[in-house]
Order: sequence, then C-alpha cells, then structure tokens
Amino acid sequence: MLNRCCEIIKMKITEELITQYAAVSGDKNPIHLLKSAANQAGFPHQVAHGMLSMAIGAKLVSPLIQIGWTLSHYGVKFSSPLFVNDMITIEASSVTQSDKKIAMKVIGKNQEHNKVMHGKLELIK
Amino acid sequence: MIDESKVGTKTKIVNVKVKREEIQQLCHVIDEKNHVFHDVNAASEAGFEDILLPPTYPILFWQHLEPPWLETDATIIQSEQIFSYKTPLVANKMYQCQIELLKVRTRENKQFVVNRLYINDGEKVVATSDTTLVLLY
Repeated sequence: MLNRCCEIIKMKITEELITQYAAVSGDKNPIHLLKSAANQAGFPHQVAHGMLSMAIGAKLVSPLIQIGWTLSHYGVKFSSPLFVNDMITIEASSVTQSDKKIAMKVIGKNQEHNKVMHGKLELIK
Repeated sequence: MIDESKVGTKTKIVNVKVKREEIQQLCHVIDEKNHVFHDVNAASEAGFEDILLPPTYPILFWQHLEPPWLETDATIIQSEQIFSYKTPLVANKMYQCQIELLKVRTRENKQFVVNRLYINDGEKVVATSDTTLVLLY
C-alpha cells in the first residue's frame, strides 16, 4: 500500500506559480508579489506563500486518498522562507502504518538543502 | 497591535460551497492530477459523494471571512498551519465557517497570532484549520 505514496516531490517556485497561487488563494500580500515589498520586509526576493509549499506537499499522500484513506491531520511549521525561483523538494520519512492509521513526517527543503518546512501527515481508515 | 483581550473574538458565520471548477483551479496551479480531485466518478468509487477538496483548500475559505483583528499595516508572515479533519470536505456541499482569534502572544515588535477556522456541516465541526501568523510592526 505504501508503495502507492510518498514519492519525493520537486517543484520550481516560479514567479508565475506564485502569481497563480495568489490569484487562486486571494492572498495578494505584496511580499509574495513585489520584490520591493519583500526587500522592505527584510527579504532578498519575493517570498513564496507557505501555503503553496504545503499544498504541494499534500501531494505526497494523494495516492492513498485515491484508495480510500482519509486525511485526519496535516500540520507544518514554516522554518525559513522559500523564495521565487527556488526549487522545493518535499519528502516523507518515518512512515508508520497499521490497518487503521498511516503517519509520516514531512520535510521540505530548498535547493541548498535548507529546511523550509517540516511537520506531519496522518491518515485514517 | 492586537489587544490580547480580543482573544475569543469570532467572525460572523459564513456559508461556503466550493464548486468543482474552483477545486480544479487550485489543482492546476499545484499540478495535482489525482482523479479524486477532478473526476466525480473516481471520487464516488473512492467512497466520496463528490470530488474532494485538496487537504489545504480550506485556507481559501479565508477569502469569505475577514477577521477584523487582522486589519493592520503590519507585515504578516505565516509561521505554522495545522489542518484537522473529522471527515473529508467535498465539492457542492454547504459548509458553515467561522474564524476565532485563539491566541495572541506579544514579544517586542512582533505578535504571534493563532486563528482557528471552524468548518461545520450543520452543528457538527467537520474540520478545523489553525493558522499562526507573525505580525511584524
């Protein structure tokens, strides 16, 4: 069953992706969209929405949801910012499984292997 | 700054019903191709009454709710997010949603603000979404 899930996810955080997520989510905070606003807030580049990273991370368990598992918990902390043109890599670890529950840690890193988010996912039947 | 005495304040309750097309817009952005988020027949085969909302979709419900305590000129950064589900959320179902100011912690020129979104199906809470924001003044 677990071979159906948890493949490593990689995605480039393009300016277009951030703009599209801002449009869909309604989160048009200028630090996501304008370099000048990001700079003013102390960041070198536009900051990707944390929720964009988290949404991408949820794809780890989509194959399990497809076969009837239900997500019960998905929580992450955003450890450091992810910037426009960064590459995020998200993977699961410490996966445990019983008949009724699957749990795993999730971690997202940028191209320099710096942790940008970490947390856990739990699914039940 | 948010007055810590405002903890416990809630927005009004808003009805939210998500259309299939809205789910597909998010799925397109994040390149989510799993059939339960696109195809009502696949969702039905997996035991759901309509296509599923992706796990993080409820954060988009914030567009329908405007917490007055977040009307600020401060720079806002998200530091943590937790979704808890009792049942999966599906398209074309009416949910009742409300955000509560759950916690405020102030440290120098920063405030850490925890907001809880309640998603109800009638009287029953079917999911919650806790969003921790850092407000930089």
